[in-house]
Amino acid sequence: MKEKIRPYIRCLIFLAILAFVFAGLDFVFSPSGYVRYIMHELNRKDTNYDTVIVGASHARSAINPYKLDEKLGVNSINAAIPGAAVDDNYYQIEEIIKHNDVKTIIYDVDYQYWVKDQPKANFNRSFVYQQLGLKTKLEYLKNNYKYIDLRNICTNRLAYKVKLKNIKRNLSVKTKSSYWNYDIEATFGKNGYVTEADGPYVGKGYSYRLVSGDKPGGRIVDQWVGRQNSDFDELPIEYFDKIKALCDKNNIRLVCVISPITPSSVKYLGLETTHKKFKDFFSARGVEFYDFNDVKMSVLPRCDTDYGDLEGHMGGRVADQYSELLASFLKDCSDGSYDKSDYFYSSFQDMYDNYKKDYTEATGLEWKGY
Amino acid sequence: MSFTILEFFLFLLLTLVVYYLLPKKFRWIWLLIVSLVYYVSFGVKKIVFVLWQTMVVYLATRLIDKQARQGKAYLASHKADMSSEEKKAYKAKLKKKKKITIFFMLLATFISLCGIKYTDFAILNVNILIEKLGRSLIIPTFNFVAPIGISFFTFQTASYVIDVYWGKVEVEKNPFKLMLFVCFFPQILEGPIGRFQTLGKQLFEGNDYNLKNIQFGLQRILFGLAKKLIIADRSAAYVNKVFANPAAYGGWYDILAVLLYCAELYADFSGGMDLVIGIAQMLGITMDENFRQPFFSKSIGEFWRRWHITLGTWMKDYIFYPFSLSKVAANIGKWSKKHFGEAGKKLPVCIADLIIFFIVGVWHGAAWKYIAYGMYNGLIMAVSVLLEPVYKKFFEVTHIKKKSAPWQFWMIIRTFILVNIGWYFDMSPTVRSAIFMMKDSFNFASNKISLLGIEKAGMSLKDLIIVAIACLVLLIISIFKERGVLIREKIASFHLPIRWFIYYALIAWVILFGYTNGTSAFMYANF
Repeated sequence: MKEKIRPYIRCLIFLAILAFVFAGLDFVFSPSGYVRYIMHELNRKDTNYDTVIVGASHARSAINPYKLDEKLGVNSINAAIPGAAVDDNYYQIEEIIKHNDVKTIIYDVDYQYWVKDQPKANFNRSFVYQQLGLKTKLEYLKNNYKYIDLRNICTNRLAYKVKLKNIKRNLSVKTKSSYWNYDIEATFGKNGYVTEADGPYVGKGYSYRLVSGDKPGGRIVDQWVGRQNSDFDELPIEYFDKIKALCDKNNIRLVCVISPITPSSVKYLGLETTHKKFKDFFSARGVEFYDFNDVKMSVLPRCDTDYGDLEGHMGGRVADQYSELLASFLKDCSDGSYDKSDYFYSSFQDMYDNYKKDYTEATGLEWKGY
Repeated sequence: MSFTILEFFLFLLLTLVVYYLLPKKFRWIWLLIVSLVYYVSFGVKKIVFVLWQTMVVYLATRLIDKQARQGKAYLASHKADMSSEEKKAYKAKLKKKKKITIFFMLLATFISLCGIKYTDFAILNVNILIEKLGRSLIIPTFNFVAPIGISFFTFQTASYVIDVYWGKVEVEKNPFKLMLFVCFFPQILEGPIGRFQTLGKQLFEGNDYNLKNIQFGLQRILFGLAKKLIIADRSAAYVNKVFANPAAYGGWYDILAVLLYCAELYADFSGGMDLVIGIAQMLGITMDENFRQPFFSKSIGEFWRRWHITLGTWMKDYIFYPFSLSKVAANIGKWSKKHFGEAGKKLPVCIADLIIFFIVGVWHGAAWKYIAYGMYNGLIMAVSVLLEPVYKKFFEVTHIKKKSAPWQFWMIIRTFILVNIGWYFDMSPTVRSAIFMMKDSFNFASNKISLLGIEKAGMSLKDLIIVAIACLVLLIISIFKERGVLIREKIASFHLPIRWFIYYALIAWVILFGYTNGTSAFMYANF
């Protein structure tokens, strides 16, 4: 009997050591990422966030949760993750509500994650799989078994950068206490800021992005011309409906917003088209939706140079203003004192025709940008 | 269903667990179910071809078997009252009947293959001809999409029918068992082309569970994944880019593209075979090997005995020998001997080579470039046969020792170069483009290679180094195998820590250096 069992015990030992090998590979090759930090922050036992901002990179740089706390008397956090697609947001929300008594979710939607042909193979998409709890992980696997590569299940392969300098950096970061304590320092890049945040970390998931004051670069937007006309992909639709169902089930107020991007890019990319699509989409589902791309200059004065790039990653100064505005706006909405004309242009065309003039009127400064 | 995704591994796990839990006599039914499910995962409609193939083969082989049995019974019952002439005449009549049956059966088998793969090709060529004749009539094409693995299972079933006709195998009376032989899931994508006498029995009898089979199977799968993900997928981006636009490159860029294509094709196809053979081994089934260190071949003939072995043996058994031993070949031999002397005796062999490689070319795809690829190989084979007396003379005059190491090494290098010239036809979009690229490969002056240029063509220095190291490892393993070392058995004989270290290193190697910018489908799955 012993002889019969021995090979199987050996197999189990082999697999157990293999698990250590995988962990070792992750330790050496996977950078200490922001996702790890923010997911830990959300799951902490000593905090209970009632308002959570979810979205991708635009949301992370646009909404300062301290401003919401101040105006609305809530305990909010900006949980947005750069590159997170709608399905990532769903699993993230699922994880968040397990550990927090969430009352409101502010979901900053970015149409780039909604247009057709969203990547489905898991080596060209962002995903939060590795940082999920076991139950959510299993659900992720159940929903993605047709796409997920075995290498990404066993390890954090998607995040690996197999280069000597990265290995050195990973080892130096991960052998410090900040990594084991889940301190934000462990996510800092070479410039001393959270990677891709380009500015000092304020707290609660928000970094104050510094801008140069010059015309922003990032002509990647040229590749996006025409994309606004694309239909929505079935994947984000499927996962948004799941988010909605999850919020309904847990009595969570779901507010969808679009934080304003670089004004000239709004016009260049014809975002009135996406505005209409999202408006129809969310109203069909009875979801609150506010697009701040056409917010009046008098309410939120902003020019292109207030952004880090043409894509529309908001600089800290405007982000703080916008966050205050968003808080007041949400308060007005809750009070029932909301009047659309107080905040928004009558149409996108109205905005296109007047935004430069209105900016100068509002600030006394000359418009800077494209 | 890709071999690297979770779905496939769950599918495999379920297949194995249920297979070994079921009583032996039901195991083949489970294999049939999972094979059909696997095939359907590529598209529900395409299962029609598997059903059609099974039905045709089943009915034809039963008919051939019936004719043979009836013939035997008739002869036995009329043994006394038939003269030997009458018996001869009856046998000839029976043979003719069987020939008609097999003719129509093979026609029905190949009609779906030819209809789907070659109709559009034929129409396109007719259209070109019509246009050249100044007419404006254009025949519309059908744009058929060939079902996965059609060339493989058509050849596999054809071999079974011919073997039944020749009386080499017993006819399978259960159509569902036959269906399993047609669509056994690991091999349906890209072979190996199995034979009923070896594969059939293993599929139907229900194999014993053996942990060693599982372990060795997994090792083989891992080795296949390493080849596919590290070498093939990493090389593909550069190869595709250069071959798609040869005018933009030339010189060393082209030579590098051909060499990388060689690595890609071998790693992709043999890696795929490792996966297939590994999966089958986990089910206790031993599949035929399809590769035997092909780049150590010393002639094109030997190369084709080491590369895609099951296709080569199929061609040898069902085309080469039947043709070479036929009356037609004998007559050609007599005629050519009369006109060209002793050398003329070789003409039937040359014709057989040309026929075989024409079919090999057509089998690879419906395009002139594949025909050119086949004929290139066929011509080399035919010419080498014809030039045998010249070679003999050459060795006599030069006193070169054929068995000497330098000469053997030169033969290997020469064959490698010839094989790589053939890849120009195989990979280029057209024959014209292949010829252009061949010429342009020597245009070193105006196409100076640089690392930046290679990177722009889709391959970074890091990629290049990884592929080069992986190829070197593959070469070392091949040298050991060529010397008769059984690698997996050798590793299994090491002390446990060393053995496990090798396995962990291989797993880590695949994870770290396996290509991640989109794994592509197996190249031979398109055939």
